[in-house]
Order: sequence, then structure tokens, then C-alpha cells
Amino acid sequence: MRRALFGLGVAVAATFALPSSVAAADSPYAAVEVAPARVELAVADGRPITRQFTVANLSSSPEVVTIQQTDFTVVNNAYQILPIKATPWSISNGLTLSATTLSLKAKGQVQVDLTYTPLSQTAVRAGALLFTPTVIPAGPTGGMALVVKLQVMVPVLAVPSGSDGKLDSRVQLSGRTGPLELLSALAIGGVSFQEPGTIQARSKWINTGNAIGRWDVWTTWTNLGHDYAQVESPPAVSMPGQTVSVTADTALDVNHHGRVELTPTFGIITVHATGQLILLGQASNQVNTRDQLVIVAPWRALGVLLVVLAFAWWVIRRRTMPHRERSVHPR
Amino acid sequence: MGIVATSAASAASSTAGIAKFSVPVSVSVAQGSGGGCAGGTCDFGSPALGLETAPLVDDLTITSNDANGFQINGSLTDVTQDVETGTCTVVPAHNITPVGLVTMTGAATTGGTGGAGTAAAKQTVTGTAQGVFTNAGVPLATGTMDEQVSLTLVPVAGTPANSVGCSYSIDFALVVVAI
Repeated sequence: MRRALFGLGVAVAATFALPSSVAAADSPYAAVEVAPARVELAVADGRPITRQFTVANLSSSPEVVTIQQTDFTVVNNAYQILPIKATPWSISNGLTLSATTLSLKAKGQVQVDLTYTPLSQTAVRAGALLFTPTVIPAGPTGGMALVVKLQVMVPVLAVPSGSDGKLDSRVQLSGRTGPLELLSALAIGGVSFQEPGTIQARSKWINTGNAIGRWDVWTTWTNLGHDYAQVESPPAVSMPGQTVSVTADTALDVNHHGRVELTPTFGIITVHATGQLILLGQASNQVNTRDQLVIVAPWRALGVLLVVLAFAWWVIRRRTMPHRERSVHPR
Repeated sequence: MGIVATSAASAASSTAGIAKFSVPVSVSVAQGSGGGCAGGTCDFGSPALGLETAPLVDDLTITSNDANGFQINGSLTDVTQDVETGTCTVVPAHNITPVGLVTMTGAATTGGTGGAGTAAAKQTVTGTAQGVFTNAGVPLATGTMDEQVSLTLVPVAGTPANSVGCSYSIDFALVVVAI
């Protein structure tokens, strides 16, 4: 989860982290870096569009990197790689690469041109490139072995757009929300109850448009009218008609130094989430979940206290009330 | 995202120079030197049949500059793979299905700047890609990270004995993708 407070800092760190990280990744085994790691092409007319990839061998050994075209779909937020032309929205017929087998010397890099000749100016086309580095691995000595093949997958989308780069009107980017559930709370009627601690929320989002998009979801926790936590979840990729689940919680991850809980000990808290589908840098209309109310208190401790108080009241009452004398009635 | 950087050297001298570069979203993956799967081969030797092996760790080095996060998806490369290989004459009857024989368990990343991610629970590997991290817990860290994926084998009791010079070899893909 990305925290709003850290967003700018992370972005700045991200900008300058790459050169040092590249130097740090030093291995005699298969190692590859690919940039860009995501491609969205704005298709304004029928002219071919060219983008350049940088493919780098981070290994201290020479290696061969093969580039393979694939299609994909999305299942449970995970890209499922499919053979080319497996989907009706396949981009593969329109894609060409200047090279598909790259022999790279140690720490070498090359540029590869990707050219897309538009197949459609009205519908989104999608596919992916798989970059597979190969250094001759040690073979198994006998018995049973797993051979791990590392790959980098780069989704490639071609999106109809106007000459201004904005989405074509025939691309419908829209969605609606399903229910928001509080996974950590006990719901009774329309109200949930929870002990102090992390409040975990799960919201569902349905892509009702006609294009793949990435849900950008923010979940907000409000205590007595004051927002005390707002979390941006990692983007959730969604195909048209698909429902995706997004979870978020109130524990702040402090960069490998553990987690800090933001929920107060006592609170009357409402939780809601807002989401937008993003494609080609543009967003759909924002949709909002309904507010969920959760009352946070140390219910167990309060329960114990209540029992103790009730017992104390009973004892005091018993001692302070006059004893009834047993009356003896003469016969 | 594009940035323009002028070097301190050019500012200090009279030579007018400018180094211009842009930084797109980038991701890399490398087989690390640690763990039990150096070079990507996790050699389980001759495991007891019907029992799960002790885990071997595939040590990966990941770099990312994308604060949106990344996922690592694991799957069998080919669920109908002929898994017996070697210098012997392969016996077709020895080609066991690799489905259900492999488990994977990730771990939170170490290193980098930002969220380390939350590993998914132990999963049996199939032909369908499954995330090493939970959907909500993909690592958002940037920079260089170490990721350790523990792999085990669960060879079924009836696995045929290999011919001399042969072994069972299962191809397994770990695919890194920027979210």
C-alpha cells in the first residue's frame, strides 16, 4: 500500500534509485533489466507507432535474452500468460520487434524497437512481451530438479485516442463499486464492532466499460469527522466486466522498520473507498463505496470491567441491605 | 517521468554541458548467488517418495523504480512437460505430470526503500500464474531488493524409477511484472 504522506518521497526516491540499483545487482547468473516495464500506445490514426526498449544484461556473464510475444488475461489480479492470438483483443498481429534474440555481453545493453501498426482505431488491443534471460545453467546431477526460468513481462496496450492524446470517445472507461467489507470487525446489523487494532477493509470494483484499466483505489478512515488514515492500494488490473477486490488497512508500513497502527483505542469510525479506472493516463469518473460504521473500543476489557463492577455492586448491595429476620409464627 | 540533470562538473567549469536523460518505469530480475538454487537449478537429489522435501531457496535480486509496485507470478512453464531428461533413452511412461508436485512460498523483500510486501501463503504450483505476494501486499519498495522464494517438491509415491543417466526436471517460471 502506498501512503499519501510518503507518496512524494517515494516518487523522488524512485527517480534517483535506478542507477545505483542497477550497479548493485551483480550476479554471474541470468539477470535482465527492461525499460519501460509498461507500454501504453496512443493510437490516433493508422500510422505505425514506434517505441524503444532498453534491455540490459545485469549479469557478470554474457547472456542471451529472448523476447517473446504473448497474449494475456487477468485472473485474480494476476496476469495469465496465453499464446499469441489467444484473445479477441490480441495485439500480436500488429507488433513487430527489431530483434527477438539478443546476445548481450556482461553488463551490456541494447535498444530494441517495438513497432505497432494499428489493427483497430476503435478498440483497445493488448498483449505482452516476455523477456527471458538465459545463462547456461548447471544441469541436475540426477534425481529430481526444478529449473527456474526468470522472466520479465511487459504489458503492451494500444489505446484509441484523439490527436491530442486523450481517449477516443468510443473507449468507455467506467466502473462501479461493490460492497465494502470490514474484515477485522464483527458486524451486527448495520454497525460493526472491533477491538483496537488494525481495521482491514476490502472493497470490490467492477469494470463496466469496454477497455482494460487499472483501478486506483483510496480507502479512508474517519474518526468523528476527522480523517486519520488514507491509503492508496496498489493498482488492480481489470478487464471489461471483471470484478476485482482491493484490501487496505490502517497499519502503516515504516520501510522495513515494522508497522505502526493508526487506529485509536476508542473511536466511532467510518470507512469508505473511492476508485477510478486509469488508462492512458486518464481517469474514469470517481465512484464511491457506501460508508461503513465501526465502533472501536477495548470490548473485552470493558466486558471484564462490567462483570467486575456488577459483582462489586452485588456484594455491596448484599452487605448494605438489612438481613431479613426469619419470622416465627406461633401455632 | 522525465528529468533533466546538469552535472556539478559542468556547472563548475566554463564548458557549457548538459546531460539529458529520461527514466521510464523499469524493472529487473536476477538470479542471486545465495540460496539453494544457484543458477536457477534447484537440485533435490533423490527425494523420499510421498514426502515433501525440505525447501530450497531461490534467491532473487529485483530492482524497480516504480512505486506502484511489482508482482512475481509463479507457474509451471508447461503442464504437459516431458519431465524426464538426460543422456538415457527417455521412457515415455516415466513422464509424470508436474502439476501438484511443486510448492512455493515467498517472503517479504529486504532492501529497497518502501513497503516490503506481504508474501502469500504457501501455494501448490500449477499452470496458472499465482502471485508470490498477496494482491494487497505487493512490494512498493524501489531500489534493489532481495526476494527469497522457497520451493519444495512433493513427489508422488508411485513416481517411476529413472533409467540410468536420466533425471526428472521440471521447468518453473517466475515472472516479474510491474503493476
